[in-house]
Amino acid sequence: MVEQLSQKLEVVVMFKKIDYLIGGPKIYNNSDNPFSKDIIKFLSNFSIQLNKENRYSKFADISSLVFWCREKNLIRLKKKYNQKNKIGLGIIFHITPSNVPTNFCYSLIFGLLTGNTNIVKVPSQKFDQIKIICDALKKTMKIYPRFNNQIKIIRYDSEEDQITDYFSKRCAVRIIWGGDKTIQKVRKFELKPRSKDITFSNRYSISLINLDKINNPKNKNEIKILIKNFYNDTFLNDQNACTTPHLIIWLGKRKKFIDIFWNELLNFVKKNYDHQSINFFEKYTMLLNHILRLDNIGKFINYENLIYRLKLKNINNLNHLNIGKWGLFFEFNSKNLKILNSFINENYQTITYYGFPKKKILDHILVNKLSGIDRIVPIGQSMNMDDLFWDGHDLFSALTREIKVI
Amino acid sequence: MTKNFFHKINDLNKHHYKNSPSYKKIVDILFHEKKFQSLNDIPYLPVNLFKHNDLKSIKDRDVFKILKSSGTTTGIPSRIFLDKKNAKKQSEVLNLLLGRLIGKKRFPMIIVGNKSNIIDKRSFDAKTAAVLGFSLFAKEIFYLNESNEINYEGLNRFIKKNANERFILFGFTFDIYQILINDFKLKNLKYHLNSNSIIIHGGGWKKLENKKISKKKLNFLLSSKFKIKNIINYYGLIEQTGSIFFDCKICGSFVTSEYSDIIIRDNNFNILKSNQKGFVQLLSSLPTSYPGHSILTEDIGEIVENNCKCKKIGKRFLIHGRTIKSEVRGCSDV
Repeated sequence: MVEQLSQKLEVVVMFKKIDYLIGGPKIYNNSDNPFSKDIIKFLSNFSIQLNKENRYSKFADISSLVFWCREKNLIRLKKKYNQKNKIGLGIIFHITPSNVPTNFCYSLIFGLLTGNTNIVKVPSQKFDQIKIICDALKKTMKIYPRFNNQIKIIRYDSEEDQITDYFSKRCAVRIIWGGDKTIQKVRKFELKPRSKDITFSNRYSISLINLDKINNPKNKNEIKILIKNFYNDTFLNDQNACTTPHLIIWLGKRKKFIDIFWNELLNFVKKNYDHQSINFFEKYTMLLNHILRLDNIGKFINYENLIYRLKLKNINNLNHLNIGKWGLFFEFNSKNLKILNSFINENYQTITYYGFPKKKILDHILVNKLSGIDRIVPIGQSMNMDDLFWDGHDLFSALTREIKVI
Repeated sequence: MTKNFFHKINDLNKHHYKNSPSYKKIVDILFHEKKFQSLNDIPYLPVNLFKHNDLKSIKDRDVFKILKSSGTTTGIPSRIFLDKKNAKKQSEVLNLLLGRLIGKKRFPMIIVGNKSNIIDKRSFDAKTAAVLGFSLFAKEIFYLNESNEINYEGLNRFIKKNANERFILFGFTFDIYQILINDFKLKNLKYHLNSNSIIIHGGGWKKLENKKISKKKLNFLLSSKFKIKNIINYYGLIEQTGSIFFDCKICGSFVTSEYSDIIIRDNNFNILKSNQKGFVQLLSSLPTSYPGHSILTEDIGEIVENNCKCKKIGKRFLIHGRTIKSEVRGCSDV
């Protein structure tokens, strides 16, 4: 009796540590058909509400979310997937990354589109974007109360193991948006026997640029577009995203263009990048750590502390330690794509490219059976989410079940 | 003096280049075009580099002591390798510099903090080093108990035993405020602390700034409560234990000695003039067993020019705390 009471008390104490941004302590378990008419209505209305909340398009990441979630795109997605005999798995527990303000919302939308009930843990840092998104969600939920039980947005300290344990025991799928340390930590909490984890581990990405396909180095416009696209893939997220390139591989003969590229990038960064003092210090520390650890660094070129170029002498011992942040890039000149065979492993996710037919890169990976690379996208679109296929996971299949009828 | 100091640092730089392969690698890649013609040209290592790398300019068998300071946010300690000669030199200079302020006699010492707390906890604000160094001045030491409380009975015995002597009260700036000003109950004290006693503290003002307690205010509170006027604030790095900086009693700035110098750099690591705020680079002529003679810190400071008497002693500077941690953009950890 006393034990029961104290257990109850513990749960009450635990709930007090949870900040419910949307929904409350009671957990529902509703499954639905994927891409139902209602959910598409709900989400396209949410896109409109969100656009209103994001006044003057203040947050670029919210604007992309609005665009992604518009009705036209949802219908396009619906057409991509076969929904016959499919139904959502039940409760999805989303543990979203601390440093991408809008990621939690994409995760939630994946869960909703696939017909599931969602418990979404958002970062403890109180990003404005989170509030804006929740406000828009609440407004939409007032219009479509049918989804009230399917959306719960919570915030709690990651150190509160009891809470993570509580939701882990109750979900059908746990989505852990990395990195490796978080995955390791969360995996300690057991799921129900039939439940499963979808994890997004630390991954690394590279760029391939074909120098010979740059029509005219004096054609400022072409370079300008390339620079802006490259900047969006890198500086915009401080090279923290798993899709951001750390290593640039230059192919082709017109090496003159390499210096032009970096100088132009410097000019663009100076105009557009929001500098933070601490990042200069940490980037310098990172640079020196790389120099001490790696034996294949040839030359270092510094562009006003905003861009660090580390030219590699060879690429034999390249491993995922070679990461850059805040504008630290490794680079290597190569004659052909064979160079990929020497270092690509399962830790590599995206190749962003310029001046190649994408089929050529794809064929190279398939023919040589490389164990990594899940995405091949043009420079500038590294973060694009074309469907529910992300970081090598087919989320549509993973979040639904199919009833076999024979 | 400056010229002399530059030659010392330049020689030291050559010494580390020759004896530390890691240091050589960094200089070869980053500073290969530099001609070392003045202090401004000397390479600088970021303070956190000592956390992840064993940097030393001596053979393994000559390592006598490893100073560890557990890291601030990451919990990874810096590791400073000392040989016998360098350990001796660092503590000699610390003694000499402190001796200039308090004399050469040894004092009964009250550590305002508990033993484990002081030895283990965060510090490249020279916590460990400070206790190790300053305790050399102690005839006998009194610590607080494990929960940072004062055992008045023990303290009374300690004061009685050392009656009529000057005490040194040593602690970290925040603890000095929290324990001596907030917690300490004067009425529990049977004997007076000699008003010639000295309070020495360091470790940063960040927590006190949040409480709007300035150095002036702290000094006022301490001298009103304990009648002790001799209050010394220090600043230093565990990487440069010996060449510590003390503040000027009159103008409150930290002052360099013949063993140290300071340079302020902007985001681009260009050198800033006086009264401009930037990253603090500290130079010390003491480190011989590890390349810690020139270190870039994440502290923000500025060199000050005023007409205070201390201008004869060295360069004067203020520390404005650590660079603020920025929010992270991108995706990785929760």
